[in-house]
Amino acid sequence: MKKSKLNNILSVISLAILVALIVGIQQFGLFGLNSYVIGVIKLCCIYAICALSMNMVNGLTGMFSLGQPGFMALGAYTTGLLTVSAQDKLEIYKIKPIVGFLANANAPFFIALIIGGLVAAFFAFLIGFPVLRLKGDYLAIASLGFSEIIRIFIQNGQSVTNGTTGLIRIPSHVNLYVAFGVLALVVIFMVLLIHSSYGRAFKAIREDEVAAEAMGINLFKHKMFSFVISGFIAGIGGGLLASHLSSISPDVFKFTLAYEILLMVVLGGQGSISGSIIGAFIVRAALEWLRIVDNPIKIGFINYPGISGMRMVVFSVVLMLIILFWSRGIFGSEEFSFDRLFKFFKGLKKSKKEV
Amino acid sequence: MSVLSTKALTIRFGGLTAVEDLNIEVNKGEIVAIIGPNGAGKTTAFNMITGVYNPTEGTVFFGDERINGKRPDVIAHMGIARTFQNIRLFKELSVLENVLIANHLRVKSNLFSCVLRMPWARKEEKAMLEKSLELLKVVGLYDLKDEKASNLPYGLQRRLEIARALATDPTLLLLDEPAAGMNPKETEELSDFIVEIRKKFDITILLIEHHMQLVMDISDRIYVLEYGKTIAQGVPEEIQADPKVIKAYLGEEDDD
Amino acid sequence: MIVMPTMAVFLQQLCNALLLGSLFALISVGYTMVYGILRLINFAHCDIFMMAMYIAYYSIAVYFVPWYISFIIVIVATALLGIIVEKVAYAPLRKQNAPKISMLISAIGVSYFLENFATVIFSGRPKTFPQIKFFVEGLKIGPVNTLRLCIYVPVITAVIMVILLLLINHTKSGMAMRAISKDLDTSKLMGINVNKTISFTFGVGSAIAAVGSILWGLKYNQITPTLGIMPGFKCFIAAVIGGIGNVKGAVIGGLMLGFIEIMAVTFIPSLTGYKDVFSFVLLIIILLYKPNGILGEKIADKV
Repeated sequence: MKKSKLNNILSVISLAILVALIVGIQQFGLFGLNSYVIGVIKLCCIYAICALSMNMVNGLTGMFSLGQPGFMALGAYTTGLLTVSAQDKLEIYKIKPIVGFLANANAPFFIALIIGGLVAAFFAFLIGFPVLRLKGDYLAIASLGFSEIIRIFIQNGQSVTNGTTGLIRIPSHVNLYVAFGVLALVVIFMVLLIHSSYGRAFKAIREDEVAAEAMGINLFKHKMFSFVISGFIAGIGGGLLASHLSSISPDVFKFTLAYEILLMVVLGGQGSISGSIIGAFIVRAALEWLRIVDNPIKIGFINYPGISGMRMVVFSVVLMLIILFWSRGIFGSEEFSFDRLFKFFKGLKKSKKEV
Repeated sequence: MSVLSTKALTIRFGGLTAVEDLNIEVNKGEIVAIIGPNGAGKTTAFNMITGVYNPTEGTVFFGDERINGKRPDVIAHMGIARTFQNIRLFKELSVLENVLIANHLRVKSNLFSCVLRMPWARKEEKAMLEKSLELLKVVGLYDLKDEKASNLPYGLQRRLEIARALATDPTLLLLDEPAAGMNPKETEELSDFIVEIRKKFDITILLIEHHMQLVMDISDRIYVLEYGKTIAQGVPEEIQADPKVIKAYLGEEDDD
Repeated sequence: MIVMPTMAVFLQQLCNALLLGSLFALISVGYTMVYGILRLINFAHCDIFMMAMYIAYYSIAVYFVPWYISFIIVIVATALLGIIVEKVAYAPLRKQNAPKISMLISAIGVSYFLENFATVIFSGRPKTFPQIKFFVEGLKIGPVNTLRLCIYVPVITAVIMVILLLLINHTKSGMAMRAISKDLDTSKLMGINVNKTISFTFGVGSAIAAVGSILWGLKYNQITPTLGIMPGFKCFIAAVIGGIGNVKGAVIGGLMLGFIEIMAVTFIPSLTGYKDVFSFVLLIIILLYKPNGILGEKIADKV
């Protein structure tokens, strides 16, 4: 579908506005947003990166993998271990001292982030050998299983990961520039990939494995490409998360995290990049906003006592409702464009008139 | 010169022998047809040739090389392309994308030079695009290139599937019931089309078909299968006169 | 690394292995039956198992219903819960002919919902399962000190399995189940009431899980909303190992996993922290070398 000129102009303008807003908020404290709100925005970006990583495998290549938490954990711990100062490491590791070679290992934040991504990618490569031979729900359960195995090893690797206590005092390098910047890089990478011959091969595998193979596409090799790239992106996402939260523990990377990311991808539409981003922002923001149902509310005579954990109930009900009644998500496998938006509004008008 | 030959090809699923002792030979430039009632093992034979199934016994030679046991994508690489009985296009993708994907197996640039749009990758992509558009012109689908594959009418979907197979640069093309579900006019066009592509692309064709008129019109030689066994082979005239074939097809009238 | 246990410890652990294996078997059956019919991992099964334990807790410890009556209440209520889950989360998707992935996501959604729901109404703090003397009385056999449970659980499991196999192989509903698991569409055409049979399957699977749940509670005492997850994973894996869709396979798989988990830790105590890893490793090995499990049938892809 050829995009209209208007669409392109509007896209450029809105992108410029977005950049201006980011600079404005970060540099000049525009809107007077407090650090909590800015923190949520950063978290949205980080989750968007993780959602894109899942979309890479699930939406684009049509495999059902839930291994994201494990890869995020690998990225997070690597980044954390490489950025916590040697002095802090001495103090943090209370039960067992940190192993020698890691005690003094340090790297600048961005190098650490990339190493984190590479470590996650390497493990994705190793895990890919057994796991990518599986299909459908077997793949889902096996990838989830590996994610848990990684977490259990992290939990038990006292002298490397500090066990259940986890890492603290990770220096925070994530400001809005970093958050949006990395997200933008990931998006650019994925767009370029999708519109390359390899991206088309991924889509072919999603559409029909048998036909793809008959057209000479090496299924295992291409699935592995997709899986490793996805692992890398998840590792980067994990590294950002570690730096943003400044403390991590194995509990952060439980497989329920995979469910959260899954909801973002499904809500946005599997296979859609813009969908994953918008899905991540909506879900993350909604989770923050839903905190109100955890707290007491008073509407007139009605006293709602506030039930902690209620937001997660709402969250899971929403996931169910979306998949039951709206399984295509916001964008299906298409991308956001102003043309579509206009078409959508025209459609709305029409249907109103008909009513 | 033999392009494809199978020697004593046999496959069993549990107790069922789907294909037994199949010996076919296809020479360069020929159009050879395999016919037979439903369940005779024709598609199973295709699946063994293209690596989807591993034969229980026997061998498949492509040229001089033994290919059974190889993966389907490796076999496609070597130059055997196929279509499917129940059309397996990449439904949600455009006509052009369907054809472009079939070019992927000849791509030499690695993933990163493709993503980073290195000059050599760009050149390759451009060549691939031109070749695909040219192919679409030849098969008459150029005007529909941006259409979603699943939106094409049935006859054109079959045609696109053949185009997609051709895009892999095959030396041997396997067509699995290309005329299934077509009306008489479409079938006639298909006949011409198959003969035309054989000439234009200098390929050899092996096809499975129920439509007798088409088979008799275009085939150089015919093999007849029944219950996994070859019951007759020869040029169309011989097959038409063969009593065993007639018997096998009596009572089959209402089938297709 | 390897520590040789004393004979007494070994026998004790053997008892524990048999007990854990039997409990796994009871839960696995539900996974395997549902997968056999719908080709779906019922992620919610482990949470149904968890809910059963809470129902038992409230019935016995809060409302003081005698335990034998409570057991019946728990089994019936859990079976109903299983049926409701199917009606709410899977049936609508089946009607839409939705892709398998949607079913799986819906399953995950239900599972997540039940966990969060349980956290809200029962609170996340662990509760202690009531001790019923009849089951947890000490028992001394030779050098082995154990609970009566160690004898009861394997016996109860065996009885239930025999009944289940009779049900599947010799009743009309069982025949309908077997027919649907072979070919859902044809079964419909043959006039089998597919919806009713699927409900029945969920009900039976959940009821058996409820029995497992009560026994699990008696043995391990603590209840939390996320308690079902790990046993759930392991029991699905047990079902795969045994050959998914096959009830006998699920029992074999469950017993195998129970033995491996207990014995590995008995002989190599340094692995204790990693005991949850074994089942996943075993799953990968089985899927690679015997993808259809020990008793499973081969399912060929149609091209």
